This record gives sequence, structure tokens and C-alpha cells, in this order.
Amino acid sequence: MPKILGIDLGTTNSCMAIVEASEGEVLENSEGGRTTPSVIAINPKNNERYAGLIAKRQAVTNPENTIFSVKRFIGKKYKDTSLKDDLIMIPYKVNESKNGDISVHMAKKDYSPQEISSMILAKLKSDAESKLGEKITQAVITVPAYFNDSQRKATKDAGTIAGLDVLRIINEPTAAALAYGLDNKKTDQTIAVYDLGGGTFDITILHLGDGVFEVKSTNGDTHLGGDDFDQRIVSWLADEFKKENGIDLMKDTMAIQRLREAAEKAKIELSTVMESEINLPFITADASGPKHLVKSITRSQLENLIMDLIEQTIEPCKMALKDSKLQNSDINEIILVGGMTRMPAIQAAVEKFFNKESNKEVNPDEVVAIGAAIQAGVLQGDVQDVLLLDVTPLTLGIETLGGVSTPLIERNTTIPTQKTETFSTAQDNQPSVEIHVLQGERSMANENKTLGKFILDGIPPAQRGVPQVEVTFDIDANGILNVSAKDKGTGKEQKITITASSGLSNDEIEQMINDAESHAEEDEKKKKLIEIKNNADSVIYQADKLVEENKDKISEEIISKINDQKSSLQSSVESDDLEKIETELNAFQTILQEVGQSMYAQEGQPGPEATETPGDNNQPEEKTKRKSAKPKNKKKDDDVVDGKTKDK
Amino acid sequence: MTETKKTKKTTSKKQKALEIEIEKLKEETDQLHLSAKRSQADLINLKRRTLEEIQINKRKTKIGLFSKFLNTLDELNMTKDSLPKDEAFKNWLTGIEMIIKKFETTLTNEGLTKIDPQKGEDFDPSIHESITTEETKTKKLDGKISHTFKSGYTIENTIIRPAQVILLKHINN
Repeated sequence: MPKILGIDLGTTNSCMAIVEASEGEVLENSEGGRTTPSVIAINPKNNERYAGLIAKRQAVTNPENTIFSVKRFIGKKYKDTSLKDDLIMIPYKVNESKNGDISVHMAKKDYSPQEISSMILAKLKSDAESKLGEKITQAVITVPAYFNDSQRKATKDAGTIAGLDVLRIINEPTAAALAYGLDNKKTDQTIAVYDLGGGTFDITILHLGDGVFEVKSTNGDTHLGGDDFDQRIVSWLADEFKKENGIDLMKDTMAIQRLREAAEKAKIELSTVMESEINLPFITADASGPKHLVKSITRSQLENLIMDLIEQTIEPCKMALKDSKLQNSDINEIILVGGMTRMPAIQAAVEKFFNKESNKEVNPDEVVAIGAAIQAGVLQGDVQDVLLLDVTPLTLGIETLGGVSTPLIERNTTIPTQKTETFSTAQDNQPSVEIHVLQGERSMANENKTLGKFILDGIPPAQRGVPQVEVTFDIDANGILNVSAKDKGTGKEQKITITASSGLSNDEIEQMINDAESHAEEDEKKKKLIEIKNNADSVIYQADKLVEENKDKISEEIISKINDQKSSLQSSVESDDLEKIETELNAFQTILQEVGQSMYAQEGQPGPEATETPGDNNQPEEKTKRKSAKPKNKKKDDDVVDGKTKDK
Repeated sequence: MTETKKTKKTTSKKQKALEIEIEKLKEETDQLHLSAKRSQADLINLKRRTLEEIQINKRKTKIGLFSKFLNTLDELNMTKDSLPKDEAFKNWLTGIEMIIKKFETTLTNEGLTKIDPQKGEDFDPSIHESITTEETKTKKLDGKISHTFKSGYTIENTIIRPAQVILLKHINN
């Protein structure tokens, strides 16, 4: 089924998204950007048309043929008095068309705002098609909540001209609420959407009841946006420089260019750090030589510079609340839209005004497009409950040697799913393994919940690590877990079926996750200790084997050295002291390396392999996943499997 | 006789109900099939695009890193251009030129291509960004590049940054 494109057709920038597996996903444009400047231009020399970033790149030198902010004019009459401010600010010509609408003059021709918008939409459509490798014919486009019927109709027409069947025109704040899935909440809600974009500010109060969004009120400032904030920093830098050097950088186009780039960078940095350094060597020069600009700006300095701009957004918020006849306390959710809302001071001001935490998890530049895509998905039938997939709430795994819980399926994995891993035995001639199925986030088996146990026996006698036991966890769509263990040598298999996650309640699940978090460090320590003990045991085993097999080649003196160090290592293992075991183990491995080297020397061979310790050689058991070693303090009925040995 | 008729009637009623049930189930199965197929197709597409995106992201990381280095290179170039042209500074100039060359060679070896348009070349906004104009009395130079303020760079046909250029604008005497 062809995809329906969700489009946020913005005043300064546009963004597009689709729904994939019920989730909104932004599509990049052909230049690799996630947003596209809403700019169209024509080169008057060759009549070549540019859209997006490329049009923006030539704007400075072709201002009269570069059309931006056309959204301000769409669906409006030339005589509309509200356009007075807009008309002053644009370097291109606008005229009155025959029907009284606005027409935009570009490269000796008049275009309707719909046509210009359609060129932006066509650019998005074509980029989406090349990205997806399929034709796009349908779209959902967003508009500001305050757009009237004629503006909405004109936007729809722009889509039609671009070759898009516009299935729905939705409000930008509604799209933002959809992106946060607020429509899925059961109760009625009042949502405030604060949208501070590149050049406009909108505040909208929405009411959501029975799945229907209703705009209660909307307010804003059509000439306030990110650029004003950048300009404040640029002016401040230029003023400071003038104070110190007596040179006005604002008269130097190149210097302004560098100041603007530095100001934007500092503004972005100050959203995450407290201080940023603006460092522009050779910014200008006078008779005395080159001049450099070095200036530190702290977050609070920046906030002082722009505080009045933030205040300017709060006033419309008050008005919107008043118009909706609501109080701050009536607002259930706040959504932040637009790149500027990443600024901590803005978030703080909005949260202070509404006295509530805001939703800011979804990228504020993309949230509207994602919401449009979700609306498209609903129309398409992609977003529906028929195939609502569940996830495993807790990690599932098995117990391995030393009581360690080894995870096979991590929590939050979408089901149905299957995972297979190969384990081995921990002792020579181990006849059987026990599969102890566990659920939980803790590192140690005894701290997790047991879901079931079974034994796979009949494993033919073999050295430890040689048998390969394949353990498979399979969870079906209903959450039923099938665990099977198969000895690859004999083909013998055992299995167990565990139903419905053993009925843990949500509270229990929450509790288990919290426990795991609070014990994470302690568990990690325990796990490390067991791992190193297992490792030590494995090295001792390999050393014994080495000595046994090469008795005649190793001198008595070395054998006694090996035995001495082995005893030290064994006693350190008893002590449960991680550092001590590590030291002793390293010392033991060094001795074994020396033994290896001397053996090769005796044979007159170069011995690069001699650097391999028995502990990390290439024995088959090491190829398989083996969290094992001989268990310490083995109890009478110690059934160890793939880890835990059962040697009876 | 009536009894048989009645039984027949009931059977046919049951049969009809079952047929409806079968039809309904068939429809449901078809829908589920469609849904499953669509999900599977989505997954395959997502996988393909994820792989593509991993490549893109790798390139983006590289681009992000290089953009930062490029600013330093620009500043080295500015240092070079700002040095007094007299003999006393000749060796300083040579030294800085050597550093710049080394820097640029490293970038080339990493797959970067420099965009450094010269005076009189055509302006192409797909690789150039105009930042201002300078006047010219030569009509045929109108709209052409005067000089490069900052060189641009590409990597694997992706623009790291366009070359920032100053364009010529024709004015009558």
C-alpha cells in the first residue's frame, strides 16, 4: 500500500514523515536534512528553479527572486490590513491579483502563494519518493490552528498543484498532541501547545474528549522566533567588541556572517552546558594589526539578553488561557514545539506559567510532522489495534555456573520472538545439565523469579566445555514461553512450556525493575566475583591438564612452582576477595606462559602461541558460550548445568 | 414427515449460521493475513532503511567532526592572509603554509574534496553559498563569483559545507 506523507508546511522550515510499523518516522531530504527551508527561488539568468536549502544558499545575492515566508500570504487578500508588517519585511515584490488575492513576483512572473507552496510540497514529495523508492500520491498537511477556511483551502490547493491528494488538513497543535499519543488516553484532557518556531510563535489550548480535538483558543506573535534570539547574541557580541576595540563589526558583512554562525552555535551549546566560549580570530583588522574576538557567555548572561523575548511569549499564553475561560490548573498536558523550546529558560518559563512539567521527549522540530504522519497512518489503517504487539516486561534467562543469571531475552523485547544460545558443561564427563528458567533483572539467579526447571540428561562422557547444549527461548504472541534444550551431539531434546509470564502483576514487575536498579552495583560485583572465580577454576583445570600431558617435558622445579602458585590462587578464591584473586590469577597465568615458552624453546620452535594462556586457548569448549567453572563449595546435590554441573 | 421437515429446517438454519460464521472468520483471517503481510513488509523496509541509515549516520558523524576541524583550518588560512607581507615574516608564512598543506592533505586522504571556486566561475547554489556581492563594471561578470570567503568541502558526494562566496554585481558607471 502506498505511503501517505505527513507534512508540516512551516513558515520558515518544513518537515515530512511517514508511519512505519505504527510509528512516525521523519524522512530526510535529498540534502540530508531532516527539515527543509520553506524557500523557493528562480535564477533570473537561466530561469533555473531552486527549492529548500539550495534556494536559501543563494538568497542573499538574489533577494528579489527568492521567496520565503509565503505561508504568511496564503489564502489572504492583498488588502488584508494584518499583512502590513509582513509586506514591509520582505525583499521580493507582491501584487494584487485579479481576484484580490496576493500574487508573488519572481523572475518576471506572478505566482499565487499556493503555487509557491506547491513548489515546496513538490520538493518534499520528490525527496520522499527517492528516499522510499515508491510513488507518493497522498498527504496529510498541517496548518496553524488560527488558519481560516480560505487559508486551509488554499493550502489544500497547493497540495493538489504539487500532485498530492490532500486527505486531511489538520491543526499543527493537534498533530503535536497526536505525536505524543495523547489521543489514546481515556479521559478528557486540556492540552496547551507552545510552538516557538523560526519566525512565529503560537500558543493553542486544545480540548480532547471522545477522541475529538477542539481548539479552545489560540494566540501568538507572528513575528517572533529563533532568529530574534540569535540576533540578540550577535548584537551583544558586536557591542562588546566595539566597547573594547572601537570597531563596529555590524558594518562588515563577512564579520556579521561569522558572528551569526558563532551566535547560533553558542545558543545551541548553552542549552546543554552552562558556559560557552565564542572564539573568532582575525574577525577584523585596523592599522595596528589583526583583531580577535574572544568572549565567554554564560547561560544566565544569555538568559538576560533574551528574557524580554521569552516574556513576550508569556503574554499570549495569558490571553489564550483567558479566551479559553480556563485556569492554569485546568491544563493537563503541555507540549513544546519548535527548536527554540530546547532552551532551558523557555522550558522553565512555560512550566512556571502553567505550573506543570512539559512534554519534550519528541524532537520539537519534528513533532508536528510526526503527528501528521500518525494521522496519515490512521487514515491508511497502519495505526490500529488489530496487531497490537506486546513486550516482555522482564528479562528471561537461565542460571549458569556460580548462580549467575544469564539473560537470553532482554526486557522490553517485542514478542513474538525467539533466541537461541549454545552452552556447555562445567565438569568432565558431566552426564546432564539442568535448565533453570529465570525471570528478572538481577544478576544472581536466586534473586530472580524461577519460572521452571528441567533436566537434559544422556550427555555422552566428554571433557568439560566440549558438549554443546543449544538452549532456545521462544515466546509466542500470547506470551507463552517455550524453553528447549538440545544436546547437539546426540540430538536429545527436553522442553518446558511456561504460560503467560507466570502472572506477575504490574506492581510486581515494577518492584522487580526497581530492585534491580537499586541493587545493580552490588549485583555486578557479585557477578564479577563469580566470573573471576570461574575463570580461575578454568585456568587451574587447564594447568593441571598441561602438567599431566607434559610431565616429562617440565622440570620438577617448575611443577612445584606451578603447584605453589596454584595453592595461592585456590586460597585466594576461597577468600572471595576480587582483587586478590585477580592478582593471583595473573601471577599464575604468567607462570603458565613461561612454562609454555620454555617448552617451545626446548623443541627449538618459535613460540608466538606460547603467549596464549591455558585459560584462553582455543579448546572447543571455549568456542561455545560457557559461563562455567568447577563450582566452589559444592553441595551434595549440586545440579549444575551449562554452568551448573550435575555429577552424580 | 413434519418432524423430518422440522429437523431439516433446523439443520439448514444451523448450516446457514455456520456458513455466515465461516464467512466472517474467512474475512477476519484475510484481514489478519493482510495485516501480517504489511507488518512484515514494513519490517523488511525498515531493516533496509536502517542499514542505509547506519551508513548515513556514520557519514554524518564524520561530517560533524570534520566541520569542526574545518573552522580551525579557516582560521589558519586567515592567520596566513593577515601576516604582513614583508621579508621579516617570510619564514613565518612558509611555516603556516606548511601546516595548512599538511592539514589539507590529511582531509584529502580521509576522502574530502575541496570546493574552491575561482574568480569568474559560475555560481552554483548546490555547492556554493552566496554571502554578499561586490560591484563590477564588467557586464559579463555579473552574477559570477568574485572570490571564495571560505572553501567548501564534500565527502562521498555529500556537502559538508558549501563554499561561501562573494558574487559580482554589475553596475553602470
